[in-house]
Amino acid sequence: MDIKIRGLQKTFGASPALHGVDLDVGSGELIGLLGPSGSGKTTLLRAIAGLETPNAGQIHFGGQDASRQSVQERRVGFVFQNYALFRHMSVAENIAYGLRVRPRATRPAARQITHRVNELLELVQLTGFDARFPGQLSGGQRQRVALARALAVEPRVLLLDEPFGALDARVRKDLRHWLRDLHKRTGHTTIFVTHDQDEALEMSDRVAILNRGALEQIGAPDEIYDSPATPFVFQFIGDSNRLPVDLANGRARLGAAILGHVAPGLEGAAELFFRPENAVLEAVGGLLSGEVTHVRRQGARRRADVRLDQTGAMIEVDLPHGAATQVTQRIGLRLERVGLFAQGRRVSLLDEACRAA
Amino acid sequence: MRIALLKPSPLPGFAPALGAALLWLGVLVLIPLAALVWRASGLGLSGLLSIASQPRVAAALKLSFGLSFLAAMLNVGLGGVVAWVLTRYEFPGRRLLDAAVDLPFALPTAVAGVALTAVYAPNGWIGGPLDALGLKVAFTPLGIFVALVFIGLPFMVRSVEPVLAEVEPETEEASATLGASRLRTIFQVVLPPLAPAFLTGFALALARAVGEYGSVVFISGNIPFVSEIAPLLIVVRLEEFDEAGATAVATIMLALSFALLLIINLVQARVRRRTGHA
Amino acid sequence: MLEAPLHIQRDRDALAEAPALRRALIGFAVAVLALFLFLPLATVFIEAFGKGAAGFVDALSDPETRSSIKLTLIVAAICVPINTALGVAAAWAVARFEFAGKSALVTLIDLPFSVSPVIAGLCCVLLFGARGLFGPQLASHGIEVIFAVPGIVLATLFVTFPFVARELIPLMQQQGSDDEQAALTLGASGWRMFLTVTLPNIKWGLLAGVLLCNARAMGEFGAVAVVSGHVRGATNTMPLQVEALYNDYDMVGAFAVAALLALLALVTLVVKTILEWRFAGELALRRRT
Repeated sequence: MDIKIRGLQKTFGASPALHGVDLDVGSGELIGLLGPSGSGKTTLLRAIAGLETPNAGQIHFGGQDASRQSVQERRVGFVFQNYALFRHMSVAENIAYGLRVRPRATRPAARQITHRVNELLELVQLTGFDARFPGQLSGGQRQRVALARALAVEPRVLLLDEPFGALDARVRKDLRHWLRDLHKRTGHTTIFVTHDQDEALEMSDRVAILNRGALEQIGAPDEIYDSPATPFVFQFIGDSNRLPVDLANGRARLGAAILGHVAPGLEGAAELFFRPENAVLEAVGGLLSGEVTHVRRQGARRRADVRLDQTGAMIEVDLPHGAATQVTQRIGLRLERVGLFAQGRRVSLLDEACRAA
Repeated sequence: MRIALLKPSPLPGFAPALGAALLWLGVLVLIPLAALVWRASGLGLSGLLSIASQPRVAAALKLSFGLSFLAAMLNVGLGGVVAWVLTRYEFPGRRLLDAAVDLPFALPTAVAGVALTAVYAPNGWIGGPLDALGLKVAFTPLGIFVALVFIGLPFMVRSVEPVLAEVEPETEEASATLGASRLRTIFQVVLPPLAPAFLTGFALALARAVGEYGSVVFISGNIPFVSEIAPLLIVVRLEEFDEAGATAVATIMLALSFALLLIINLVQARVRRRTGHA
Repeated sequence: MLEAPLHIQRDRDALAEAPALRRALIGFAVAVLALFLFLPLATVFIEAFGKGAAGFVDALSDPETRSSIKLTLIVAAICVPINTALGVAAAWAVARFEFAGKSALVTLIDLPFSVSPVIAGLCCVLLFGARGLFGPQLASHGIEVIFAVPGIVLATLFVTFPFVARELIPLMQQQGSDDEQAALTLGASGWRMFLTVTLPNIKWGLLAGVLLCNARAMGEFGAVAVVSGHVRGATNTMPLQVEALYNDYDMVGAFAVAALLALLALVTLVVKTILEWRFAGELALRRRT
């Protein structure tokens, strides 16, 4: 079932949580909502479920307007961050709950419910756990019961709020693969919220980045990482360098160095972003140069702090494998996949002094 | 392994503090209760039972325990609603109301007794209109019931309130996303985990009501066989200088109360295990 | 960057009961509390001033009533300090040490709450009455306990014993003993540690316990009724005086004394509520345990 969200707004008292979010999710897609805490991602998820009443905007499920539907009518599967399992019910009772609460006319027979529960237990690899209580399960097992409970009602969309937030790193990694796999098999349209960029980039078909209640960018993981659309995305995803740039007379200048030409009429301060791995070492004498002040190892790579000759700014640069670069050495730099932004908007560099993303 | 009687601690003062507390408890609580047990044992089990089966004693015990049980039952409902309203809704005067719940704790029982009597007497604010409808409250068992509800209400509210306040809102939301109506959510998701708290409140209210004297004697009318409660019968026997009779009634009352509390505790343990509180 | 709120904001409107049901429930709760609590309380004051302020003052200047007020103050003045000191001692032992039989001790401390006050009075009679265990010997030395002030004090001590300890134990357990251990490492003596560290930490909880203990000491009826002998002007406490005047059909007199006691209850309640609101963190708040 596809989801279409238009102009969604939500304020809590005086503080806005969402302003005018538009989002389209294709049928069967797995979307990760990523953002810092307070960015509105959970509010957006809860609004889709009907747990929050938006102040304005529409939500359509499969072409049908669901904006006025109550939580109960929306038929979404919602997995809560802390699972919200009913502690006084067994695993089987938890999973069967959504079927048992249906009005008599649409409620499956008891035997069918049991059958469905067993099916789901098998799906989430918890066969034989039906009589246990949530208090007797590990975190990962609870998470899977919560998922089975949400899937039992054959939801139109599956919504997960920080699905792995409460688990330790090891279980988290296993469950990620498992959930990705499960999604492939069941094909539910799925939206999950996370503040962990690795999780979002690894699992999602597309990632939607939220900041201060607005959508910054939505796209495939590679697109998000390689071509960040806004300064926020550049800084939020991965590592990046930020350099102040002056725009004047159709040129973008970094200190004395001219980075390239911009459309005439653009004037004033701008910001240049690039990732440490996109600063390519070359011989001194090119456009940019600097002095290495510090070199450190970060897992598989070596990274250097470099003071730019042009402005004196400090930047981070990844060193190629095997490079014997050392502190106080002088290096030349060429930048690739840069993003130039003036007043938060992307500015195109018209020639190839440094290659834009 | 040797079991330590006292776990070592760097803090001073254990011996004097415990000594003083134990001495005081012994003098004040244990010796008096021992006197009661000693006096009762003088009567023997058959003596106790024959006094318990006297019609007037049996009627008083039945009335005390029966009405206390009914009052605690009603307080499950009343206290439940009051606790719900006080924890879930924000409205002007909520804090005042919340503080007022403790009034029966703080108000001397004799004051509660005369006040309830005045309100529910045939010429009282509530008793008057009810009397016109042919319903007598004061000086009937119904009056006793009203007093016992009054005295038990705060126990129920204060037992349920904190647990209700800590219910995770997510479980209610989960129930709603699974299609359950609000009413069903309340009865199947919110209330069942509160059962131990309700039981605690029930036990406290029951225990208090069984022994209650001051707030009841004024409103009860004190007619033997009709509206004479067991604590009053103890007083009556003492006034007749029948200490044996008083001791017997008191012993039976205590034994029944502790048996009831024990049963409630056992049920409690079962419920807790069932709800996975263990 | 803006600091994000710690809690996810949510509105309960999407889930809560319909406004009409909500209003009905609030109305019901208010009605229950009004019928059971406010109306009786209001009656006390209205009846007390049934013959105007002059009638109220008159009633309170009756010599027997005055003597009952005096007796009540004396009884409270004896019982409250004793039970406060022993309550603190009991709380110190229970909250600061792990020892065999601790839970039994806690049960014993609570015992007076589950024993009918009338039975407490009866126990005193069985010990010190004319035909009691110690009564005859004491009587031969000219000491009267039952139907006299000592009996009243004894019965009151019994019923008010748990209040201070019950307020302090959860509070002290929750606070832990780090502060006290720090004081000891800095060289404080046991007493000095208690006076300068423990007492300041528990003062509000202690005050709440003392207030409740005092309210009960002044208001106790059942236990005292059994042992007092109801000698007017001599062994009647205020609650007993209420009963005596009520049985005389002296409504203004009975309710005037009742009004004083109700006032005491209200003051106790108000102070306790203020303490709970202002020092929520420093009070055990029995509701949490």
